[in-house]
Amino acid sequence: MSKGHRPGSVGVVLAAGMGTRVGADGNKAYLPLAGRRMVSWSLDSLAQVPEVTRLVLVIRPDERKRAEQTLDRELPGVKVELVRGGASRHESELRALQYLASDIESGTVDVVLIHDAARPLAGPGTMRAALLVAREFGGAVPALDAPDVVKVGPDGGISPRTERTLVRVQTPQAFRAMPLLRAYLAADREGFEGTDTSSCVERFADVEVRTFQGDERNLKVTYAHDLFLAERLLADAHYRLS
Amino acid sequence: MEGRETAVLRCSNCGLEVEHTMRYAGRLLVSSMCDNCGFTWHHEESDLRTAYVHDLESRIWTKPGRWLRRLRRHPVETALELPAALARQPFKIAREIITVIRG
Repeated sequence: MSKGHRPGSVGVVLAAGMGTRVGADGNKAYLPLAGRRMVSWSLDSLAQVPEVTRLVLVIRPDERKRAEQTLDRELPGVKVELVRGGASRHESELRALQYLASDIESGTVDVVLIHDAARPLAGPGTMRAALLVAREFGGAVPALDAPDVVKVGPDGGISPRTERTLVRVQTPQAFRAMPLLRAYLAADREGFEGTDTSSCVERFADVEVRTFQGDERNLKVTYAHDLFLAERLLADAHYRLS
Repeated sequence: MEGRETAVLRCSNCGLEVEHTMRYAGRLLVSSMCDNCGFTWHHEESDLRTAYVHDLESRIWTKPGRWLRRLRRHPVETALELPAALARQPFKIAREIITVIRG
């Protein structure tokens, strides 16, 4: 165990985006949203989960100072470890897990919870739900029904939906730490890049991944209008995420 | 917070993932503009003015507490910055009000 780290779970927030982009101004994770930078909302939610004993923020190499200033101003008293991200989401996750590897192998980290900084409205309740489901079953992914999604065949025709329900997945995604680390190391050896954490775990780990009820408000800021909506949702919640 | 920020977002008009320029009044987002095609989203005008007044009120009430917390963390640096920061406030608020009026 690293010096000073309490045993428990680790919350990882991915704020490196696509590392290929250059320039400190381009990263939406640092956009102001209702009085604080977007990334601070996620870290603050994770910091409120009692079982989360460590916080890791994955950053672009050239944004260390920006991250440190943001944390100092907006989350004073919250200890956040900074890790350099990679050129893709998958690589950033791998680097975070490699950073935690010795503590995972020694058993002092039981669950790793991975969250996108672009989803600032996931509150402590969603974070904790992910963690508890992962502790019980192995893996946890928040999901929402997707009733407006249809299956389309190669000829463009709409196929009837099967009985298996289609869902939209969100983050935070949480997994038992050891299988997660092994899955990412195996994926690295094979050159596999998953679209999200669960896709890598499903392929390289033998753990049960359960979905739990996601939240429509846990939107991903992709378009500019998402920021207006996120701001309104935060105001409606009196700037307190539950 | 600065009154103007840029970030890469997907444009709902041209569909490209490009830099957008966001304008803020205090904590409120006033508008966002795609740097590629110029497509702009605005905060609804009447709603923005009401929201800004509430937000300004909240900021004024919480400002002393925020400065105190900064003073505890960085006493020397904050004490040196405080006079100039206080002197800037009226101009800063005036700029924000102009931004809100222009929408």
